[in-house]
Amino acid sequence: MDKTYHIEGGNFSEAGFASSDVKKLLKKLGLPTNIIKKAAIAMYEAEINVVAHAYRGDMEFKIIPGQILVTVQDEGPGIPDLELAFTEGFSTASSKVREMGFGAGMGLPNIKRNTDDISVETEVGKGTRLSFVINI
Amino acid sequence: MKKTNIKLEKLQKILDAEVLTSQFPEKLEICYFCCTELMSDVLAFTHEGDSTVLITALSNSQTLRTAEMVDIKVVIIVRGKTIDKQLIELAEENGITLLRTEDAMFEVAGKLCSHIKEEEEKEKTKNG
Repeated sequence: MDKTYHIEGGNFSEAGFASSDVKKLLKKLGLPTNIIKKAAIAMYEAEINVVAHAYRGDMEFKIIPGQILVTVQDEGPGIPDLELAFTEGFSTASSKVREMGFGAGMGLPNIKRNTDDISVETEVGKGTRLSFVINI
Repeated sequence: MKKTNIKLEKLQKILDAEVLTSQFPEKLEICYFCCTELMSDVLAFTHEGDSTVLITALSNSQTLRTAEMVDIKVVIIVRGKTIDKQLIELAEENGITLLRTEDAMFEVAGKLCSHIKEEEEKEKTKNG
Protein backbone atom coordinates (compact mmCIF):
# COMPACT_ATOMS: atom_id res chain seq x y z
CA MET A 1 0.00 0.00 0.00
CA ASP A 2 1.30 3.47 -0.76
CA LYS A 3 0.03 7.05 -0.81
CA THR A 4 1.54 10.41 -1.77
CA TYR A 5 0.56 13.78 -0.32
CA HIS A 6 1.46 17.22 -1.59
CA ILE A 7 2.55 19.74 1.05
CA GLU A 8 2.48 23.49 0.43
CA GLY A 9 5.19 25.58 2.09
CA GLY A 10 3.87 28.23 4.47
CA ASN A 11 0.34 26.81 4.54
CA PHE A 12 -0.16 26.23 8.26
CA SER A 13 -3.92 25.81 8.04
CA GLU A 14 -3.47 22.57 6.07
CA ALA A 15 -0.36 21.37 7.91
CA GLY A 16 -0.95 18.01 9.53
CA PHE A 17 -3.60 16.83 7.08
CA ALA A 18 -1.33 14.13 5.57
CA SER A 19 -0.17 12.82 8.95
CA SER A 20 -3.72 12.81 10.25
CA ASP A 21 -4.91 10.86 7.20
CA VAL A 22 -2.13 8.28 7.58
CA LYS A 23 -2.78 7.94 11.31
CA LYS A 24 -6.45 7.13 10.65
CA LEU A 25 -5.40 4.62 8.00
CA LEU A 26 -2.95 2.89 10.36
CA LYS A 27 -5.69 2.69 13.01
CA LYS A 28 -8.04 1.06 10.49
CA LEU A 29 -5.31 -1.46 9.65
CA GLY A 30 -5.16 -2.33 13.35
CA LEU A 31 -1.46 -1.63 13.89
CA PRO A 32 -0.19 -1.46 17.51
CA THR A 33 -0.87 1.90 19.21
CA ASN A 34 2.82 2.60 19.92
CA ILE A 35 3.73 2.09 16.25
CA ILE A 36 0.88 4.36 15.09
CA LYS A 37 1.98 7.06 17.52
CA LYS A 38 5.63 6.89 16.43
CA ALA A 39 4.63 7.09 12.74
CA ALA A 40 2.19 9.95 13.37
CA ILE A 41 4.74 12.04 15.32
CA ALA A 42 7.56 11.47 12.80
CA MET A 43 5.33 12.25 9.82
CA TYR A 44 3.83 15.33 11.46
CA GLU A 45 7.27 16.73 12.38
CA ALA A 46 8.39 16.13 8.77
CA GLU A 47 5.25 17.78 7.42
CA ILE A 48 5.75 20.81 9.68
CA ASN A 49 9.38 21.05 8.52
CA VAL A 50 8.24 21.37 4.88
CA VAL A 51 5.53 23.92 5.75
CA ALA A 52 7.95 25.88 7.94
CA HIS A 53 11.07 25.87 5.77
CA ALA A 54 10.40 24.79 2.16
CA TYR A 55 8.43 26.11 -0.81
CA ARG A 56 6.66 22.81 -1.48
CA GLY A 57 7.13 19.10 -1.05
CA ASP A 58 5.71 15.61 -1.40
CA MET A 59 5.35 13.00 1.30
CA GLU A 60 5.29 9.41 0.16
CA PHE A 61 4.04 6.81 2.60
CA LYS A 62 4.35 3.08 2.06
CA ILE A 63 3.65 -0.04 4.10
CA ILE A 64 5.50 -3.24 3.29
CA PRO A 65 5.51 -6.39 5.43
CA GLY A 66 7.18 -5.46 8.72
CA GLN A 67 7.90 -1.82 7.90
CA ILE A 68 6.46 1.65 7.35
CA LEU A 69 8.52 3.68 4.86
CA VAL A 70 8.21 7.45 4.50
CA THR A 71 10.03 9.77 2.10
CA VAL A 72 9.63 13.53 2.13
CA GLN A 73 11.14 15.37 -0.81
CA ASP A 74 11.01 19.15 -0.79
CA GLU A 75 12.04 22.11 -2.91
CA GLY A 76 13.52 24.65 -0.56
CA PRO A 77 16.64 26.21 0.91
CA GLY A 78 18.24 22.89 1.93
CA ILE A 79 20.12 22.37 5.19
CA PRO A 80 23.61 23.94 5.32
CA ASP A 81 24.76 22.03 8.43
CA LEU A 82 23.08 18.66 8.97
CA GLU A 83 24.86 17.88 12.23
CA LEU A 84 23.60 21.15 13.69
CA ALA A 85 20.08 20.49 12.38
CA PHE A 86 20.03 17.23 14.38
CA THR A 87 21.06 19.04 17.58
CA GLU A 88 18.17 19.43 20.05
CA GLY A 89 17.35 23.10 20.49
CA PHE A 90 18.91 24.34 17.25
CA SER A 91 16.40 26.06 14.97
CA THR A 92 16.30 28.47 12.04
CA ALA A 93 12.51 28.88 12.22
CA SER A 94 10.96 32.27 11.48
CA SER A 95 8.89 34.20 14.01
CA LYS A 96 5.74 33.14 12.08
CA VAL A 97 6.64 29.47 12.64
CA ARG A 98 7.31 30.14 16.32
CA GLU A 99 3.90 31.82 16.66
CA MET A 100 2.38 28.52 15.52
CA GLY A 101 4.05 26.71 18.43
CA PHE A 102 7.02 25.27 16.58
CA GLY A 103 10.67 26.16 16.03
CA ALA A 104 12.01 24.74 19.28
CA GLY A 105 14.70 22.82 17.47
CA MET A 106 13.08 19.44 18.15
CA GLY A 107 11.94 18.50 14.62
CA LEU A 108 14.69 16.29 13.20
CA PRO A 109 15.82 15.02 16.65
CA ASN A 110 12.24 13.98 17.39
CA ILE A 111 11.89 12.25 14.01
CA LYS A 112 15.10 10.33 14.78
CA ARG A 113 13.80 9.40 18.24
CA ASN A 114 10.59 7.93 16.80
CA THR A 115 12.04 5.98 13.87
CA ASP A 116 14.28 2.95 13.39
CA ASP A 117 16.28 4.30 10.47
CA ILE A 118 16.61 7.81 9.05
CA SER A 119 18.56 9.38 6.19
CA VAL A 120 18.77 12.94 4.90
CA GLU A 121 20.16 14.14 1.58
CA THR A 122 20.23 17.87 1.16
CA GLU A 123 21.53 20.45 -1.27
CA VAL A 124 21.67 24.11 -0.28
CA GLY A 125 19.45 26.19 -2.57
CA LYS A 126 17.66 23.15 -4.01
CA GLY A 127 15.97 21.08 -1.34
CA THR A 128 15.99 18.14 1.03
CA ARG A 129 15.05 14.48 0.83
CA LEU A 130 14.25 12.89 4.19
CA SER A 131 13.56 9.15 4.43
CA PHE A 132 12.72 7.14 7.49
CA VAL A 133 11.66 3.63 8.45
CA ILE A 134 9.53 2.40 11.33
CA ASN A 135 9.66 -1.31 12.05
CA ILE A 136 6.28 -2.84 12.77
CA MET B 1 4.14 17.28 33.51
CA LYS B 2 2.37 16.69 36.82
CA LYS B 3 0.89 13.25 37.62
CA THR B 4 -2.45 13.01 39.40
CA ASN B 5 -5.82 11.28 39.13
CA ILE B 6 -8.90 13.39 38.48
CA LYS B 7 -12.10 12.96 36.47
CA LEU B 8 -12.75 15.35 33.59
CA GLU B 9 -16.05 16.58 35.13
CA LYS B 10 -14.18 17.59 38.30
CA LEU B 11 -11.50 19.35 36.27
CA GLN B 12 -14.14 21.29 34.36
CA LYS B 13 -15.73 22.46 37.64
CA ILE B 14 -12.41 23.47 39.22
CA LEU B 15 -11.57 25.66 36.23
CA ASP B 16 -15.15 26.76 35.60
CA ALA B 17 -14.44 25.84 31.99
CA GLU B 18 -16.87 26.02 29.11
CA VAL B 19 -17.26 22.83 27.08
CA LEU B 20 -17.10 23.71 23.37
CA THR B 21 -17.45 20.30 21.75
CA SER B 22 -20.51 18.08 21.67
CA GLN B 23 -18.50 15.25 23.21
CA PHE B 24 -17.63 15.51 26.89
CA PRO B 25 -16.48 12.20 28.41
CA GLU B 26 -17.08 13.34 32.00
CA LYS B 27 -15.74 10.17 33.61
CA LEU B 28 -12.45 10.27 31.67
CA GLU B 29 -9.54 9.92 34.10
CA ILE B 30 -6.84 12.55 33.80
CA CYS B 31 -3.37 11.68 35.10
CA TYR B 32 -1.09 14.30 33.52
CA PHE B 33 -1.22 18.02 32.72
CA CYS B 34 0.90 19.64 30.06
CA CYS B 35 0.92 23.47 30.21
CA THR B 36 2.66 24.97 27.19
CA GLU B 37 2.47 26.98 24.00
CA LEU B 38 5.30 24.98 22.50
CA MET B 39 3.80 22.24 20.35
CA SER B 40 7.32 20.93 19.64
CA ASP B 41 7.57 20.02 23.35
CA VAL B 42 4.15 18.37 23.35
CA LEU B 43 5.27 16.16 20.45
CA ALA B 44 8.60 15.35 22.09
CA PHE B 45 7.58 14.75 25.69
CA THR B 46 4.00 13.38 25.84
CA HIS B 47 4.10 9.73 26.88
CA GLU B 48 0.54 8.93 28.04
CA GLY B 49 -1.56 11.02 25.66
CA ASP B 50 -4.84 9.27 26.49
CA SER B 51 -4.72 10.50 30.08
CA THR B 52 -3.03 13.87 29.44
CA VAL B 53 -4.72 17.27 29.24
CA LEU B 54 -3.06 19.92 27.12
CA ILE B 55 -3.49 23.39 28.61
CA THR B 56 -2.46 26.17 26.23
CA ALA B 57 -3.10 29.71 25.05
CA LEU B 58 -2.43 28.67 21.47
CA SER B 59 -5.82 28.40 19.80
CA ASN B 60 -5.01 27.36 16.24
CA SER B 61 -5.40 24.20 14.17
CA GLN B 62 -1.85 23.05 14.97
CA THR B 63 -2.78 22.77 18.65
CA LEU B 64 -5.41 20.20 17.72
CA ARG B 65 -3.23 18.45 15.13
CA THR B 66 -0.48 18.13 17.73
CA ALA B 67 -2.94 16.74 20.29
CA GLU B 68 -4.22 14.29 17.69
CA MET B 69 -0.74 12.95 16.88
CA VAL B 70 0.09 12.15 20.51
CA ASP B 71 -3.41 10.83 21.39
CA ILE B 72 -4.31 13.71 23.73
CA LYS B 73 -8.10 13.66 24.17
CA VAL B 74 -8.66 16.92 26.07
CA VAL B 75 -7.42 20.43 25.24
CA ILE B 76 -8.10 23.46 27.45
CA ILE B 77 -7.65 26.93 25.95
CA VAL B 78 -6.83 29.58 28.55
CA ARG B 79 -7.56 33.34 28.80
CA GLY B 80 -11.04 32.93 27.25
CA LYS B 81 -9.69 33.22 23.72
CA THR B 82 -12.00 33.37 20.73
CA ILE B 83 -12.12 29.98 19.07
CA ASP B 84 -13.08 29.48 15.42
CA LYS B 85 -15.97 27.18 14.54
CA GLN B 86 -13.55 25.26 12.29
CA LEU B 87 -11.37 24.53 15.29
CA ILE B 88 -14.30 23.04 17.18
CA GLU B 89 -15.18 20.96 14.11
CA LEU B 90 -11.59 19.71 13.84
CA ALA B 91 -11.70 18.71 17.52
CA GLU B 92 -14.98 16.85 17.06
CA GLU B 93 -13.73 15.05 13.94
CA ASN B 94 -10.80 13.73 15.94
CA GLY B 95 -12.60 12.86 19.18
CA ILE B 96 -10.91 15.65 21.13
CA THR B 97 -12.84 17.48 23.86
CA LEU B 98 -12.20 21.20 23.71
CA LEU B 99 -12.72 23.41 26.77
CA ARG B 100 -12.15 27.08 27.38
CA THR B 101 -11.48 28.90 30.63
CA GLU B 102 -11.25 32.61 31.40
CA ASP B 103 -8.27 31.92 33.68
CA ALA B 104 -4.68 32.53 32.58
CA MET B 105 -2.22 29.62 32.45
CA PHE B 106 -0.69 30.58 35.83
CA GLU B 107 -4.11 30.56 37.54
CA VAL B 108 -5.05 27.24 35.92
CA ALA B 109 -1.80 25.64 37.08
CA GLY B 110 -2.24 27.14 40.57
CA LYS B 111 -5.80 25.85 40.94
CA LEU B 112 -4.83 22.37 39.77
CA CYS B 113 -1.78 22.20 42.04
CA SER B 114 -3.91 23.28 45.04
CA HIS B 115 -6.48 20.62 44.23
CA ILE B 116 -3.82 17.91 43.92
CA LYS B 117 -2.26 18.98 47.24
CA GLU B 118 -5.66 18.94 48.99
CA GLU B 119 -6.37 15.45 47.68
CA GLU B 120 -2.95 14.24 48.83
CA GLU B 121 -3.56 15.70 52.31
CA LYS B 122 -6.97 13.99 52.50
CA GLU B 123 -5.38 10.69 51.50
CA LYS B 124 -2.68 11.10 54.17
CA THR B 125 -5.29 11.83 56.86
CA LYS B 126 -7.40 8.84 55.75
CA ASN B 127 -4.43 6.51 55.96
CA GLY B 128 -3.46 7.89 59.38
